[in-house]
Amino acid sequence: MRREGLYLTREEEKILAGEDGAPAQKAMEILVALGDIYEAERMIDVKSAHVSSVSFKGSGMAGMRFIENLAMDGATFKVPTSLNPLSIDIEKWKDLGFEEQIVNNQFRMIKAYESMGGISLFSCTPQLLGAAPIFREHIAWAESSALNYANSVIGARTNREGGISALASGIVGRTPLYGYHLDKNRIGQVLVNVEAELKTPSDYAALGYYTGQIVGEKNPVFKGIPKSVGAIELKSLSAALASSGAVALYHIVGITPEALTLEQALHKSQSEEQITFGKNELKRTYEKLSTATDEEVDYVAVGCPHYTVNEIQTVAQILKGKKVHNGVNLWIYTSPQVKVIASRMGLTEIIERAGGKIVCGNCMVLTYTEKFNFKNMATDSAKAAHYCPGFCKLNVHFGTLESCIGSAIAGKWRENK
Amino acid sequence: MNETIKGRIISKGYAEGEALVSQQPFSFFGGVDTATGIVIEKGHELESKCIAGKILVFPTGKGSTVGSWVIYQLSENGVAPKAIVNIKAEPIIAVGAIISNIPLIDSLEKNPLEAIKTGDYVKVNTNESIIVIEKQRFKT
Repeated sequence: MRREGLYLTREEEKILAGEDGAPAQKAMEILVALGDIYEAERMIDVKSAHVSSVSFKGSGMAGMRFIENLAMDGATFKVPTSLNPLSIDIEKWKDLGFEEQIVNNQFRMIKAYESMGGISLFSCTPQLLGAAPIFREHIAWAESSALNYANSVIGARTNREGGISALASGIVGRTPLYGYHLDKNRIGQVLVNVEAELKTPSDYAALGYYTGQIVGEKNPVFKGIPKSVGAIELKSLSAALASSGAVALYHIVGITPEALTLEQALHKSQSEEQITFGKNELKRTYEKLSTATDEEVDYVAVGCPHYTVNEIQTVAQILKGKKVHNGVNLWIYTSPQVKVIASRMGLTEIIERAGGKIVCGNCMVLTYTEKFNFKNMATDSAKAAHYCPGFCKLNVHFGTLESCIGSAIAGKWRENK
Repeated sequence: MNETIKGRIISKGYAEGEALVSQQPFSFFGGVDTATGIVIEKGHELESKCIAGKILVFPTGKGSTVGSWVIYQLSENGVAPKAIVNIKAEPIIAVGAIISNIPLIDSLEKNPLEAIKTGDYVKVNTNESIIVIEKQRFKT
């Protein structure tokens, strides 16, 4: 044992000393420092990692050079490590008009990550694309909307990793034992009484957005969510909670695995803090997320987090036989995998014939839409509505999927409830 | 009249230089110009000061995880601080310092914000987990 604080096994000490190569040594230094800061007792193995700093826009030249240097030093991932979205469409970047220099830099990053054995999902929804953990499995995931889904809906265990710490965990297959890996930190802390009727994924996004800004980093427990809730609704809820707040874990009474009852979720009979999400809160949150001051719409962007095949089916059903209005750009964001299926099913053709685009492997927040000078964006994502005004200089109309696609056809914002 | 204070190594290395001290938490993301090392955060105690080559002393970090990349970019551009001294390290700064090979020490036996003044000459020695302060070598 080399030091006070974090206990290291002989093997871990060897890695720290450089016996497994420079990348593993650097990875272990990062994890040991985090373990010290969080007063972890020791390291534990993780079954998988998910890395967020994959988009060129997010990491910049520094991030690109860092990952290239690691790859050149022979870094490899010891556990399955999946990759978050890019700043460009991986297939149609040329048609969509992304600049060559940006595309080159993005592909340099892809090459580096893939040479390390990274899994090319290029999506923010690894849990829905074959990288799902199982109940109680220890993982090290970045991507705030995926990690909290994994913790909450699946009952796996991860901290709110950053891109670099998740990368480090992928390289050495370990993480310090602290935070959400421990039972005591997984107890519900704020009771959220859901009294509003939640009908659409965007309603769940509004619930998440409202709750996140109040609870911050705490663990909310939702009571009153209908049994009809599913993965698509919880995908929206998860993303919103992580945008207005920093929620890494939530419980839904009677639905999520660590909340069969309210008592199990709260670990005692009642919680000190309670908030209510009723009809008024739902309405006000929709209004708060909409920053546009006129009904103009020139950009409709849905798929944050990435749309499933099912959601693309819904879009195609609305668009069949119709046309996207002149002057409106409809971009549907999803993973490369889902686009393959959608194309085989004829959904891509329906959407393209109507004048829309399926954009794959891309992140709508960290992409380069500035050159198109879009003014007003319509979206059903609270996460996109939260970040796009700042990152992409857009005004937002927030509404349901139906409102967004309907507005793409109408050429102006038209709410469809 | 040197003072030696023991602390905890977060990021290893050795560096010595002129101290720049802030009583306020520091965010690299949105806080520093990566080309020059000049602090750009409006209203910050260190606004328009240059952190390049300094022993940067502040209580703890704040802000987005992208801050780790900003530290790395500063280092690539040759305008990063030579070392960082915190009361308590926070993950974004810790990770940024480690990937950039910038020594970082925290949990010192004496509050560094009181022990060190801007202009002091400080040696950060993580081999021995200490900092050594030489008072007021530089007039500021």
